[in-house]
Amino acid sequence: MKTERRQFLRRAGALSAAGLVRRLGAAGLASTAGAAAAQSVPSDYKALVCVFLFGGVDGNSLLVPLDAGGFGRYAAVRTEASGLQIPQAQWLPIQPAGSPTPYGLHPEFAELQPLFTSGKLALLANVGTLTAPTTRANYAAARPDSLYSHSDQQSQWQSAVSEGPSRTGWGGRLADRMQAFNGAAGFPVVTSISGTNLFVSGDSTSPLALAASGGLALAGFNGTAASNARLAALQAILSADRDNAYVAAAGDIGARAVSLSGVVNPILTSNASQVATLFAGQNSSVAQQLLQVAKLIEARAQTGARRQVFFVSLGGFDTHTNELPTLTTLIGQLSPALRAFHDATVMMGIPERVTAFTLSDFGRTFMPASGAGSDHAWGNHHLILGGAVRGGTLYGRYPELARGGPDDADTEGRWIPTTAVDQYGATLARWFGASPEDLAAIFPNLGRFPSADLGFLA
Amino acid sequence: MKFAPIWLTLLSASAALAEPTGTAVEYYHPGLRHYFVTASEGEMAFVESGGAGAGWVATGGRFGVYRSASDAPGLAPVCRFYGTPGIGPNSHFYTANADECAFVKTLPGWSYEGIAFHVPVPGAGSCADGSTPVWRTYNKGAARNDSNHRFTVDPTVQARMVAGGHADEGMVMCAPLSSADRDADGVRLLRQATFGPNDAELARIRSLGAAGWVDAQLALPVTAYPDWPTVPANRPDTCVDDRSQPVRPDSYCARDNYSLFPLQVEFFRSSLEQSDQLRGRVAFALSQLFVVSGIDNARNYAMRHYQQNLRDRAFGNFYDLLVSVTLSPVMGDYLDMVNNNKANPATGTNPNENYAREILQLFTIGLFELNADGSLRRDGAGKPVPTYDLDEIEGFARAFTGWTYPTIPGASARNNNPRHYLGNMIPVTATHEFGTKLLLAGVTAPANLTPQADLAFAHRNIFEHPNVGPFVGKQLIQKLVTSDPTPGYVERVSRVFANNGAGQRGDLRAVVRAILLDPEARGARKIDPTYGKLTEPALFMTGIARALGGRSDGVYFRSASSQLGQFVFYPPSVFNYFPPDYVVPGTSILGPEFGIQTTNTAIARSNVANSLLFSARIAPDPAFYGAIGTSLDLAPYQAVASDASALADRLDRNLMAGRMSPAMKSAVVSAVNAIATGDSLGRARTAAYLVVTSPQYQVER
Repeated sequence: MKTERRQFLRRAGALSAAGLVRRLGAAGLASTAGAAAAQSVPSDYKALVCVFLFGGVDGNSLLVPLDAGGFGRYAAVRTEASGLQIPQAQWLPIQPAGSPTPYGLHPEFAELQPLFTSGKLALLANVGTLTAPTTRANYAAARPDSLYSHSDQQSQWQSAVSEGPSRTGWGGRLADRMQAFNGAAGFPVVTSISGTNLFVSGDSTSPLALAASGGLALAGFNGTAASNARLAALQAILSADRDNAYVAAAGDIGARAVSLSGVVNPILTSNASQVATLFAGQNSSVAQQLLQVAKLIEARAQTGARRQVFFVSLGGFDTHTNELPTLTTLIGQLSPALRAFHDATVMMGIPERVTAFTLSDFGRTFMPASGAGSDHAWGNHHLILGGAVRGGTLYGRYPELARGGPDDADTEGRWIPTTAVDQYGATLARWFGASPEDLAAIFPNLGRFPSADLGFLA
Repeated sequence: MKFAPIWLTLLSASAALAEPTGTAVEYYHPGLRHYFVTASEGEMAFVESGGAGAGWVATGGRFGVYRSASDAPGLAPVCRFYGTPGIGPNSHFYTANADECAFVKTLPGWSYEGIAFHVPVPGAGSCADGSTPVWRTYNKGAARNDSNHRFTVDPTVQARMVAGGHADEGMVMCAPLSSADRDADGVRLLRQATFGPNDAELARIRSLGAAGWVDAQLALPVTAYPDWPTVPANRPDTCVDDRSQPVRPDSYCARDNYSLFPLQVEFFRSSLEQSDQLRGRVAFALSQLFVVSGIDNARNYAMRHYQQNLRDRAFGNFYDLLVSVTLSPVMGDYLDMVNNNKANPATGTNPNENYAREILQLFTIGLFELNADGSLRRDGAGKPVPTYDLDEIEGFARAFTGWTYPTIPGASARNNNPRHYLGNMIPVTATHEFGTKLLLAGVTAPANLTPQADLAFAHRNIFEHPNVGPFVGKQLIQKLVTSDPTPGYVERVSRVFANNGAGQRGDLRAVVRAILLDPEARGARKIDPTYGKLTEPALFMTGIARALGGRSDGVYFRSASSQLGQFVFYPPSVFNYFPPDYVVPGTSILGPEFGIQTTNTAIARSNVANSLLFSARIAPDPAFYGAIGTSLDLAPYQAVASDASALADRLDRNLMAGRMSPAMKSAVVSAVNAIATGDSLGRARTAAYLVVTSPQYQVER
């Protein structure tokens, strides 16, 4: 661990040294946008955008079969009296390629439904945390640690490790292996607009974290001699003492923040963004976060990044009660935000270089809970969106909607996943540029599953 | 490890010993893996200049000694030995024990070098007031002729050395604490137990001693939040914010009743002023264990009662606290125990599992069986043992059926009452599940219990689980003292949870006392590299304000807490702002507060410091009746500001418990000296800004 930390520090330090001269000149912390804009747009750019739906979104309310038999099985358990049934007429119909069965998307997905039809949006059915291929017969022996616990299942979705703890996430490990694309001392691969977490933590890399709106700048420095002396002292203090692990860690984060602020603040506070108008009128946090992401992609010439992993989130999906009104609100935010983001990539001319995808703690029980909600469960359905996506298709295998049926781990409709997080992540990571060796390191249990590529990306 | 008899006497207030007249300093050689300690300044200079060979580095370990036998009464001489060249180890050995000294003199492998210094010695297993134990560990190197001993006054270091394979040779000397050492411990205690150190509380600790101060705090009456009026669950259309000036007490009806604005502001305002600081700190910690959130329930009166209950019961019994939390309609609403009805075959619904799951996972026992020291119990195959499975969750979910909101006065009671948050939830027989329920440890609740009896049975079942002491005790240690406590520390605290000394389990008063008076919390300078914690954002701000004479109506701190990732009483989920098991990236140590420490929030902390320090006053909010804004008073620092070194030293003592390193001091001094000597305010602001933005300050240890 110590070696990794030093390696990390060297990188952070190198970045700091490179940027320091510009920033501490007469202009203090003022913009370097002019100098950076002269750089060219990186070729071979790719971005992955993880949209984490905190709380465990109820996949049973996102995607249902609309044929008479399938919807009948849905309505038989999600009874009208339970308060958890979305009427058949309200679902947005889609016809997945190669599927005899028509399906319905949640009614609030109006902005995304056309993207499924036009082949930019794919759906992945019943994906979840697995230690190995699992069936109702071997579920008791093979199930992941601490199933149905929010924190543990979030960690397992984020780490792709379902047995024992993991100190890093697959986003961070992917960043470790892709950092060279951005130069050894270059812009961080991972940017989180939603704090820090396991997904974004690597062995040798750490994320840039930004607020959902606004820039990143130290206030109160004005370029006078006294101000410059104070800034120099602040920087010296951030790296002065290494005798305590917490002091060192806090110092590293602070030093990195000061260093990166010189690059990102001009981008985030600029009025020059072309894509911002696409988010006009959307005040939700997830829309604001995706706008920050779009701005950074738009300014990739300034950051010099060629590989970026972004993390944004939307919370509130732990719908034990009052589920349908809650989902109406949340999907009503998610759908237009993702649509605006996709449209931004089109406007930038790089839709095929940006792939957005959803993760979530877990799916929820098919059987309703007291209070018109649902409880913690397991396998879930997810969305993949982008110009490189082979969309219009339902990947994976949709579960049989039967309590105690072949896909139920229990009697309440806790779907045993038929596709692993590892496969889902590896498909995204391969597209991003990870080699087979990289994939084996990033997803250590990938070899336990039949396919390392689910085929939803070109 | 049996520390208990020591600290009880160690920490009582009394006249201090004479000031130490010398300091022993510790060095380490990573190649030799040897420790070396010396009280000779000449020898220190020799070692530091490489005279003893390259590679020796100061560990930061140091303790007070006496140079002369006559510096204080009752001192023992400390014999120093060196391994006889060619025969013994390349190592020094010290002993204050006359018999041991005489014995080692007879060993050919050791050469006697004389009396190094003088110290008091432990009597009856403890050190006298005003001194602290010096612990000795041994590397078990005799067989390879490589014996080496480590001497430390830091019990965390001692515990980690023993965990790493050294032999524990116990307490071998006592080191006198200097007045600076005692003040540093006082400031550290105030950072652990209050919303921030200030001169008045430090003076109380000097007078009462640590234990006396804690006991005085435990005895103080409870500060109450104002009793805001009860309002309808849904905001009436007439309840709106009237933005016209001048503002009246009732201008902001919507904000003040249907957001937690008044409670948040009052939290910060009272944290600066309330005398029952320790209770306030523990209640704030409990609010992050028994999490509810304004995101889901922003009715100010309701959350007021919830938070007041945590203050009221902070030093009570954990069982009573847990039951009161369960029965709160705020918690009932947040985790769906309210109106949780028995299974309904007609609608196909089951009892709601949410509260059953989180009371176990987050509030009391966690996912895996624990040893008393907080470590995981493992089965024969080495795997952790889950504390429960789906069957138990369903059992608790059923036990927790049959409760609804208190009935609104004047309304008729229903099985599922509408929202109302004054008083506890009330039982409803008609919606209660009367069958048997499988609970923890294979216990089955009998059939036909009333809702109240079922609830009590289930809570007693949880409360008696052996995990509760280590699970809750460790989190309280993390919240108050150190992020990654040693197993020994957790075990000592969980034993007090199990039995307060009078046979009572779950006595939080005794638990809090044990946490704060543990040798790993108190005593001399802490040098273990994994000791301490990053101050959480709310306390970062209150700490600045209390140390620097702050006056505030709380409005600024409320809004700034959002920028720092800890918008008080609005945690993002039941998992709090940050989880207790968060591991600092790039390390293997727990650091919960690092779960919200990012490039973004790190900069935001500095910018809060800038706002507080580089303005005469943060202006009163015209929308807040009675606003005074927020201001600091740097006059005591301006008074010494012409001397940059004295200015830095004063901030070091009062804010940093003496942990400002020479390198940091040098940086502060040079920045201060870039400002004209006559600009005392500019100099004081600059120094204070650099201190409070430093990781050395923000990490308390």
